[in-house]
Amino acid sequence: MAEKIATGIFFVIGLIWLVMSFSLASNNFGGGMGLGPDFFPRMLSIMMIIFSTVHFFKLMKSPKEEEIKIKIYRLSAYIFAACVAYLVLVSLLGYIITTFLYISLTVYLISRKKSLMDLVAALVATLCLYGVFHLLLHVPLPEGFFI
Amino acid sequence: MDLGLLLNGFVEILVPYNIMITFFGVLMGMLFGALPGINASMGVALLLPLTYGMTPIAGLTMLLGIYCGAIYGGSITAILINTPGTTAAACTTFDGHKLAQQGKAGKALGMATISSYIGGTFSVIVLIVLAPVLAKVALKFGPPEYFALAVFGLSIITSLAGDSFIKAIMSGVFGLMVATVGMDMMNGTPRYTFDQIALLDGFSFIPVLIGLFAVSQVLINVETSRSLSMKDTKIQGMLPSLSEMKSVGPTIARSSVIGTLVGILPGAGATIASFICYNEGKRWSKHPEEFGNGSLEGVAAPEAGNNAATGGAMVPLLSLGIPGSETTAILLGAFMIQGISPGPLLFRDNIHVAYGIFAGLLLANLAFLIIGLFGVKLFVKILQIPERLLMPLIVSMAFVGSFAVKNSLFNVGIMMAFGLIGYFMRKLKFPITPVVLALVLGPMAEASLRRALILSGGSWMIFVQRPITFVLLIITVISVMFPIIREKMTGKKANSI
Repeated sequence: MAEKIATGIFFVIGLIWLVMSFSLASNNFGGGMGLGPDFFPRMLSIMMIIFSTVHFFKLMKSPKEEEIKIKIYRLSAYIFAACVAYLVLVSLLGYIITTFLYISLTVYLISRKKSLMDLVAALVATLCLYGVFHLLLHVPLPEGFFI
Repeated sequence: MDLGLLLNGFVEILVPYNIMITFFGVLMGMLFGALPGINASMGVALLLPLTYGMTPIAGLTMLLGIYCGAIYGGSITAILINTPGTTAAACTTFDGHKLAQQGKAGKALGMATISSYIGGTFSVIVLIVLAPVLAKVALKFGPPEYFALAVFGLSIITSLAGDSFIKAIMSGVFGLMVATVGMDMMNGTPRYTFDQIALLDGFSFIPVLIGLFAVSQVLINVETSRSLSMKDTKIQGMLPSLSEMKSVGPTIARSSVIGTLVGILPGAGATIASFICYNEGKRWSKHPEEFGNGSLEGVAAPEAGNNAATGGAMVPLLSLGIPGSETTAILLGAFMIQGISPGPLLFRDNIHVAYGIFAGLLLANLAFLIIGLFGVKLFVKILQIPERLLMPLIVSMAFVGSFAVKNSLFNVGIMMAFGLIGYFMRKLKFPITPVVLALVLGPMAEASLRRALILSGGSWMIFVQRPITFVLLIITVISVMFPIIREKMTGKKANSI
């Protein structure tokens, strides 16, 4: 079932790309020679529609046992949610605080143990990241209201 | 080969900062290679942002160091805990771990290190000789030839297809469609930006890449717990004796040649090279019965082969600008970020960079030889980093890397979105590599196609009339058809049995 949905999504993306390609110019610089910006995406969308349709019918015909069953683990969902929270909070709390919170939360989610050592490790990791990226390599980091 | 230029390259690379950077890259590569579940592609993608502020030679050498180090590093866990750190080290487990069980872990590690070094260095020498020559030929290429090259590069997707040909193509087309987002490069029309100003430049390569390789892999990794315990393995007596070296010499030499050739072929990389080399090593060996029971030749053959493939894979990348594998596709993106386009123009406009990279590659191979022989005990300690800490660290690095591209959290969001896409693609067995190849080669294919047709006044005959273009397109058709025919043939065989 999951694979059929994914194939369906690919089909829909192909359809959107096809429809939108008609609002793109079909030539260069108002009537020059050659192909316009619409050609390449239109070809791709047609390919996508054809391949996803073929694959969909192949899936319909194939026996149930061959179906790929996917199990989405709760842990993966939590970990991803933590990433989203990281993204949202970083512009509020600043890089160091958010990174520390994120790492210690994820460590806890994976190990399910409350450990002081892990907290220390998360702090050290955060400071290392900050030190290497910001102080040593001058890579810009997101800024928030705090540090 | 121009020795003067190579010497110049060494002068550029052999300054303390660049040497340090190279060793750092190799060490990180070894780490990414040795730890199961994370690999060379992820390492290069994650550490790419570190190179933003570096000179092209330093930055690119570091990334190439990661690549070489990762292919070598895979052997360490293969030998010590029977789990290959990368797929390229799968063959090394056969004899390497047997040797470790017999108490000869040090010997196996030493042999793996030395043969990796010889294989890798040999392939770099081939690269130095071959790439400038090929590039000279390619300098005559015009838009039609580049279009044919890009299409040929894309056809590699079919040979990378795992269990389903059509799924690989769908992944590839998806990547090509993602690449169409942004301002049209010929006349500036915004395409598929959905009125988002942030999308006018298209999806930034790095966040997409980091999402697909790092974030999705982390989400998969946390689902199964792995532990690396190698406390009880003693590592000693790494250096092989002269008589041992004599007996494995021919094997290393053979693997170096085969590995380099396989590496040059697009679509076949270090993994395939190591399998072929292991088989050939067994076939030509005086003691084939020892293979699988702890043969030193059985360690040397795949290890020399997989590292020889690294230099080989650089040949089409540097001279023609087409990547033959996942990691080289990411490296191609890294070149572009440094403002350097690999291919014939590299040898015309930035020849000192090209030779700097050659020298850097030789240094990178030396670096893992030194770390491997003298620092492996310490390295094994670093490998004990608990996974619960490693995974959030990877995401944090991914976060910084995506942010730093344009100082925008929007790109971090892109990274996470593609992390989720990659997660589901992996789960549903849609291969990821075609997406990356398509992202790199798609814009090249489209631009050269349209330039070629402007050149010809709109006539498609230009692709048949120019001999190189025609031949390349024919090869492409053959390479696409081959797996289909093979699938049909083997499918029939399977049915008849």
